[in-house]
Amino acid sequence: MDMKREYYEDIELIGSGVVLFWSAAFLIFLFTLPIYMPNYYIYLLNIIIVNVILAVGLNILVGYTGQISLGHAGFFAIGAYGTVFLMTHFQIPFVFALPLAAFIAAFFGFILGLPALRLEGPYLAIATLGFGLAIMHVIGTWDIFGGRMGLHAPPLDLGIPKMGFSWVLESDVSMYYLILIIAVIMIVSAINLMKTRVGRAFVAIRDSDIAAEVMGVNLTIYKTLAFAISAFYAGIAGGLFAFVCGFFDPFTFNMILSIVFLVMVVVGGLGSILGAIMGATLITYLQYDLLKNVSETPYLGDFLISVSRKWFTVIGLENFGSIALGLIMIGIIIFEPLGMYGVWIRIKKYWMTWPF
Amino acid sequence: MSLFKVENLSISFGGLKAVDDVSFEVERNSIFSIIGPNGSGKTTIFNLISGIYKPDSGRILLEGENLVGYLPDKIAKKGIARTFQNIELFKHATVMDNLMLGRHIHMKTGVWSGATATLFGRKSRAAKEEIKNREFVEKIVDFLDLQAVRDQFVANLAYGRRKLVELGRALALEPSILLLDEPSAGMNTEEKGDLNIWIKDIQEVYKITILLIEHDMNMIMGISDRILAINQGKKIVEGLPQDVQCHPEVIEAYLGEEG
Repeated sequence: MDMKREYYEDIELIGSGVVLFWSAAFLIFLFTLPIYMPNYYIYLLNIIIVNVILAVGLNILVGYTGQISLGHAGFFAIGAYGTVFLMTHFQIPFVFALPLAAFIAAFFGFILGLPALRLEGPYLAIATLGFGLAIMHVIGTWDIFGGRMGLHAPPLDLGIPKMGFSWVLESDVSMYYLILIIAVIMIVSAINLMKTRVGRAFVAIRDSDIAAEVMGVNLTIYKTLAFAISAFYAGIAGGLFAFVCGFFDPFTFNMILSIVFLVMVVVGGLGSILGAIMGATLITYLQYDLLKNVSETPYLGDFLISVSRKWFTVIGLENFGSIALGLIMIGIIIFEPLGMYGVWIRIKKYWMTWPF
Repeated sequence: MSLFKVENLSISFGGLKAVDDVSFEVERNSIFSIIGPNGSGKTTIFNLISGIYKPDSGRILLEGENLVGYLPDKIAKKGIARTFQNIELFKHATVMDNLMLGRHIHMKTGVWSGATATLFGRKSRAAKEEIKNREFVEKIVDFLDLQAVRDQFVANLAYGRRKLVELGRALALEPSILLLDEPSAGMNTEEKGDLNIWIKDIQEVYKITILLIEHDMNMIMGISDRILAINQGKKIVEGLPQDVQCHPEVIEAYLGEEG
């Protein structure tokens, strides 16, 4: 056990030498990953990290503040469309367009947060669901956003082209470094925020909004703030996603995506930033890669595909993907309500007290 | 002038007059108790004072300022803190975090300075503010003997300890008036004895005016400066402990009418 000697250690980012060592090791691992990873996996990693950013933001809303959102695909879409639109129509450089689009998403989050003052639980879920669907359909009918045909992302230029300074990221690997750096900044900010005054107010609202109120927490400000921050994260993730994929249409941001985001947070562990990271990683991997690998396994893959074709639709193994996702969700809720974070805590405890 | 004054306060829920034309005054730095049988409207008065309910009529004056119509968070900022009958703590947070929430109105850290709190180490504004307020809260931890459970989650604490944490959280707000809603409920004799001393200390050392709802008559009679007795939302009598204790209507309200 490490003893604390001063109050600063209570909010310190890295509490002990052990944590410092492992975080540093993990970061070095992530930064050297492209050297020994095939390109396809870098693309997959990009999507994973984008989802991590979103899940960390969604967890601030769902896990820490206790509000539900089934509309995060909407904020994700605002981030993606916003960034690309600002870049192509107003020639705003990426470095400004991305945060600007995220602030637009945050503004919409603030607007959506207003009904949240009156709504709770299932009612809030329906309201946010409606928002997500509305965004998808509104964008789909506006020709300026490419309508149903979707949009292509312009080249990702980190410089300011107008001033003759241009730095175009072309490969998945260079994009990987950009996304990774942004993700680290976003995650560290979230950790800091949750340890200080605003984060405590969020947790207070989740656990007892009436007590939070009589202790001086303004519910109007903090509930809408939680929505806005969460939407900001979704906006950043959406803006990056646009460039990872290169092409997107309104149906990329459908209702199922909102639900998958929520699954990431619940499976990872509500109210834990590490949990959100783990959940997003696992679910994204399952969705994108596991099924592909399974279908390529000899005998088993062929068997599953034939079963899927016989009993479900002909789209390969995606049916099983949805079933697997559902089963994981049910299993987590029954056996480990704290999600992957809960499992992690138990493993950690086991090793810290080993061999007793 | 008295610090705190309630004038003709009334509220009804449907046809039920929960609080009916109640008035009282509380002197600065005194302990003012409200007694009455179950369902007589004691907690409703607290809910009206802290802004959870809005009265149908009447005024609530703190140093001459009418608090009626303010939201609970604004009333907290005016310096009125409270505890709840059925403990309203933040269960999935540590004792320290619960107490720190009590410092909310005294801190300024916002989203930006909070998110960058550790960027400049302990020199950043947010970190400095955090350290300063943790020192303040630590005094309350010492005062209420909570050192042993300082970093534990509230959900793991025994009932009596939770009551203390709630008291501590209200103290952390540095209130001028503290509303205590049955602080000794569910405590054993020893804990009650300690609580008695703490409440007296809060009055004398921290110079906080206390409004107290309590069922334990020994405690009430021992520490109150003045007592208000109510029944069915109506004021029966207000006065010194010994006067209230012997008042025939109070005895009737508690024990029923004589033969």
